[in-house]
Amino acid sequence: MKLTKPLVLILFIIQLAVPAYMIYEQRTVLSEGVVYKFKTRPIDPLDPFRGHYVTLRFEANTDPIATSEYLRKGDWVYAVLSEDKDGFAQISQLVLEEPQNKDFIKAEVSWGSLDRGYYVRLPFNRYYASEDTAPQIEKAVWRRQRDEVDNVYAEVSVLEGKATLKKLYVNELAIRDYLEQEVKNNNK
Amino acid sequence: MGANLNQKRISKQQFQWLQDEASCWKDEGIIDSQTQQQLMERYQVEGVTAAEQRYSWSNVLLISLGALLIGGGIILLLAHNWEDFGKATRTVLSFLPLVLAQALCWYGLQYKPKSLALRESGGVLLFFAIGASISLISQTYHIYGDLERFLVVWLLLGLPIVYLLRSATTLILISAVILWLCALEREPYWLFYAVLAPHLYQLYREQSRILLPWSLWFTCIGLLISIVYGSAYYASPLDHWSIYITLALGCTFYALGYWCLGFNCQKFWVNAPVSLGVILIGFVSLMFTWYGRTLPSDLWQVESPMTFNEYMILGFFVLCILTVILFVVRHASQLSAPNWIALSSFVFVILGIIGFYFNTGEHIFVVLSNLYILIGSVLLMFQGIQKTRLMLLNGGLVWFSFLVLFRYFDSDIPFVAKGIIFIAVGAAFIATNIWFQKKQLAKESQV
Repeated sequence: MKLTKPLVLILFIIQLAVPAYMIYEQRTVLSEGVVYKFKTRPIDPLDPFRGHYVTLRFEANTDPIATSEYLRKGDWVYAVLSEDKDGFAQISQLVLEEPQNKDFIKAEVSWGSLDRGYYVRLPFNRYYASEDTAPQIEKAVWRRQRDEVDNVYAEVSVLEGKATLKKLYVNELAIRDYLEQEVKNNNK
Repeated sequence: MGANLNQKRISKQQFQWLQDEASCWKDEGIIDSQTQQQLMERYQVEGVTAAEQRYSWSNVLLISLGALLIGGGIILLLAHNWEDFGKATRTVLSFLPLVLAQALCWYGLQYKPKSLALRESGGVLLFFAIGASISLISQTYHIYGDLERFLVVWLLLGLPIVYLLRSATTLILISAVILWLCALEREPYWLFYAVLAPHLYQLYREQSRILLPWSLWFTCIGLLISIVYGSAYYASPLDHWSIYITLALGCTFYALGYWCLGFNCQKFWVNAPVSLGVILIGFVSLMFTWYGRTLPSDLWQVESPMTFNEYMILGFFVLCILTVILFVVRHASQLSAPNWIALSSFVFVILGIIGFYFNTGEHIFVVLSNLYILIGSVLLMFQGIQKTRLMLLNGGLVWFSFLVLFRYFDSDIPFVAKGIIFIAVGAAFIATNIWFQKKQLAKESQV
């Protein structure tokens, strides 16, 4: 019984330290990481704890990625990043050894085969928004993509294999500014 | 307070006895009500004080429910996603519920260590605050959605609350999270239930009348669903084995319920393992009476490979078998007829294992299980009448009725055969009843 109070204090510290570390990790990646632009398409689902979010389907992950390694579902790999001619991020290769002098993201293999290549789960597939904004994002962006604009991308900060989503952009405008502009245009 | 310090600690049964005796003495005029009160104040029930008991049983459930609602409310408020607040404000906000809940728990521990209600509600709020805090940080920094990882972190940070704050309601919540994890991923997260066992034992020692049954029901049902879900699914290598694993688990629940809580603890709600064990045994034995799904198959012949979870479930199956055998060997002399009837179902587990090695036919299961339920249910009804225990009588009747209902609609047996069996069993019933009545009358005339 004597030990209860010190142990409770230790538990409280751990309970505070875990979220604090999560914040520290994200902030480090955001402030020190290299920024890549990932072309994407959003859809709006719901999480019972964390509320509404937009799932981002990245173009960099629409085709299987070539690799010389034999991989299985659930394996962790290093996805080597590069940029295409328009300046958007693409995954050029999947390797098992940590690459030197190149930017990369640690990602989990979802499925695929050696001859066709593999798909990976990118660790930044959620953009959280309020219950009002999330459906608006989905609606606005999907309408846009059916029309003429194909310029929806997420800014992602990458540092030592970790990646954090910074902002979502439509037509070079941050998503909130874009939605405000849409409202103004509709009111005119 | 001075009188309280000199209180003698006695067991709940002794306290109850004294209370009954003291009221008799008062009624007979041996003592007056003041002396009765003084006498009662000299004693205290072991574990918790009588005053605490009076307060806690009536309040703790409502307070815990209130804390549950508040906790859920906090999560929902944060899930709204207050995107106008900016990252810094939301970072502070994500710690706020956690720090407040910790402060409440610390206050309870420091100033009201005996308040069960404060302990329970503090534990529940802290548990929810951990979830809320991680959720809000995930939301603020758009951390990707891996529900499994989120639940594991929540579980690991919340689990020590059960022991350090001794909160049984948190144990129920933890049971739910473990079940959720097992339903989400077929991994052996059900092993976490073992970590809850010491606290259940602690509750038993404190003779907790409400929290122990609730916790036991939640833990046992959680473990059952996790194991069944982990073994019985399409193309699972253990698919054909799951019925035997479920029956072995039912027998183990039954054995452990009597072993740990004692043979006198027979109330349906209080002895959760025994009650759940009986339901499982009754249900699974009825499943054996049908053709078509009962043969065990070679584990290494099926298409999908054995994973870690399947090996762990097999290990658990072996542990269940050993527990039941040990229980029967150690307590054979104490077992009553209804105990033997329930535990006889264990024969089907053994037959399953034998069938796996020697390829026994399906008929043996179908014939034996029909006979088992027919004889078992009738014996139970007799026991119920003889011992005037309504629960046994009703249990036997329900079991028997299901058997009759199943066989009536059974398309594997020709109508003529079914008709003859029904008439024969019905006649046997009436004949036994007449014989029993005659015997009773003869007994009464002798007296």
